[in-house]
Amino acid sequence: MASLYPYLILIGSSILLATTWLLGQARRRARITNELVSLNEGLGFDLPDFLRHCWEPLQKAGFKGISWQLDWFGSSLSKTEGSEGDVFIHRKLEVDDITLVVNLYDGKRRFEQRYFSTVLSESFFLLLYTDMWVKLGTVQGAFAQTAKLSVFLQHDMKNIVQLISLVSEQLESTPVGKEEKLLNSLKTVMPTLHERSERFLSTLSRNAPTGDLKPVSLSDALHKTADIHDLKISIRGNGQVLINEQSLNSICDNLFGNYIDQHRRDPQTGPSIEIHIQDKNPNLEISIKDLNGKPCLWPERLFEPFWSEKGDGLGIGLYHARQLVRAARGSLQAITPEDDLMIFVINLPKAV
Amino acid sequence: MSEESLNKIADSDSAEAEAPTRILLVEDDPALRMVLRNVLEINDYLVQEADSKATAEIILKSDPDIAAIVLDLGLPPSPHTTIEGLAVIKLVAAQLYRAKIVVLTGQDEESSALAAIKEGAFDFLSKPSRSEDILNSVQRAVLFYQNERTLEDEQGLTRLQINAKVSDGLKAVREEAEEKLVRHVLKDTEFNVYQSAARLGLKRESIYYFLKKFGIKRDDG
Repeated sequence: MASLYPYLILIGSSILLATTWLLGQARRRARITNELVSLNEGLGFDLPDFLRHCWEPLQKAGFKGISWQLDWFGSSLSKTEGSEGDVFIHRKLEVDDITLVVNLYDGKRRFEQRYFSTVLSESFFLLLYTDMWVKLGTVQGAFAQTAKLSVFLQHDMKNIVQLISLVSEQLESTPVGKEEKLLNSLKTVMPTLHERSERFLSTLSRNAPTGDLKPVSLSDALHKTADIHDLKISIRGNGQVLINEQSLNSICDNLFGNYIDQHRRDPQTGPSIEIHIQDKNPNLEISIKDLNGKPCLWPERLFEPFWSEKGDGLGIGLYHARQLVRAARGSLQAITPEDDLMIFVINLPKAV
Repeated sequence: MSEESLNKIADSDSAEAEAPTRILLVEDDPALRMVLRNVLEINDYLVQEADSKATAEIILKSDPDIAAIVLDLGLPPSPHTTIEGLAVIKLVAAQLYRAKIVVLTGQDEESSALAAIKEGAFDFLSKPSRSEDILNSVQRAVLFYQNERTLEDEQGLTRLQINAKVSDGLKAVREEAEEKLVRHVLKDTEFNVYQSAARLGLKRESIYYFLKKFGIKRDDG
């Protein structure tokens, strides 16, 4: 038995050495894969740029050369780096208007070297394919959003123009005795027109309105917006927050608009909004709940831009409201219990 | 029809014209709705407002004597498409309301106009329109409404609107005409089968046959 020990030690040492060597090789390949991933991320997932810069890490992995031809939305690009040879991995990737043909040249590899080479090349091709989809998704998303935005703005703009045109005509030729009626109607119409125009502008710019921060009464702002929407609200508590008044109106408008849209789909009952304002120094916390509402089915989608439940809304109302609250150094959250009413919680800096 | 002849007809119907003519205004933008209401009221129309198809339906049910509907095609819950507006036109046709529909919309003009006219709209105006054009259109719609009422009351003539496809042949047209006429008479007689049969010169059994054939129920009207 003792005579076998030297052989056993030899076998064990060989296994240990082989394992250590394989582990080292695997780590080296993993580092190169990470390098490729970081490079891709650093270049903003831009496929042509990534292709131009990928040779250095691939060379480190022992590949002999790379050649690629890219049809990029109708423009042709191509490049060859390193040396070409007989052994290569060929791949053609196509996604809509983007086509990429890649040849990755490799030496003759056997056993574990072949395995490592295959793993790395497949990871590389996966990165290329991901970049193609990222680009396509971005382009298609941008087109869809622009088209959607255009439809919404056109609709709003036509209504605004129609309204202004009718009001001007009425002002020009008011029948005798009807002046008071016209004046009363203008008193109601003009604030609504103002609000519509502001909303139009904020949709267009999607920036926080400019202007001074000043103390604004929450109760007044909430009531003002609710009146414009002819919305029933009850408010407990009050206080002043430091904010641009136009921003606050826009936040209220977007939140109330969300409730109104919910009820338009199910017009049996209108919204009944309960608002609770509490002092949470140095902020004021505003909790908003629709007593006639329903549990939110899509909590993760609420603030996602350009998403709307039935696909019929522009889907930037709540997203915009959150941006405005953040710009005012506050926070906007939605508490969405599975079987209870959704609550919007806004924290805004208290005016001292 | 010329402006002059329309005026003559209007004069002949002076008794009816004395009572304020009822208009239903279906528009989801509250500010625009108020201004349009003002334009119509200043011109002595009696205006009822609706901001959606559901509200319009309730008003039409409660007041079947509405002469004209000024309708925005883009209504909630889908204000940026024509779905709801066209649904209102279909509703008016299906329920055999006599009101004439004047479409006033900011939706894509060509396709919306075609769809609205196909469903039975009387006139189509695109936003922005001048108040004079809106009023002219409403006035024409009201005159057509009034004259159809007169023809119906005095001569028993009923106007039926049928969209016929020539390739479908005469049978399809005849069936649609039959259905509309039966529905119309049943509505007029408040679903009295005996009276409806008498008006149509049919046996009661035939009315029951049509009820079954076209799936007409009392609630439909």
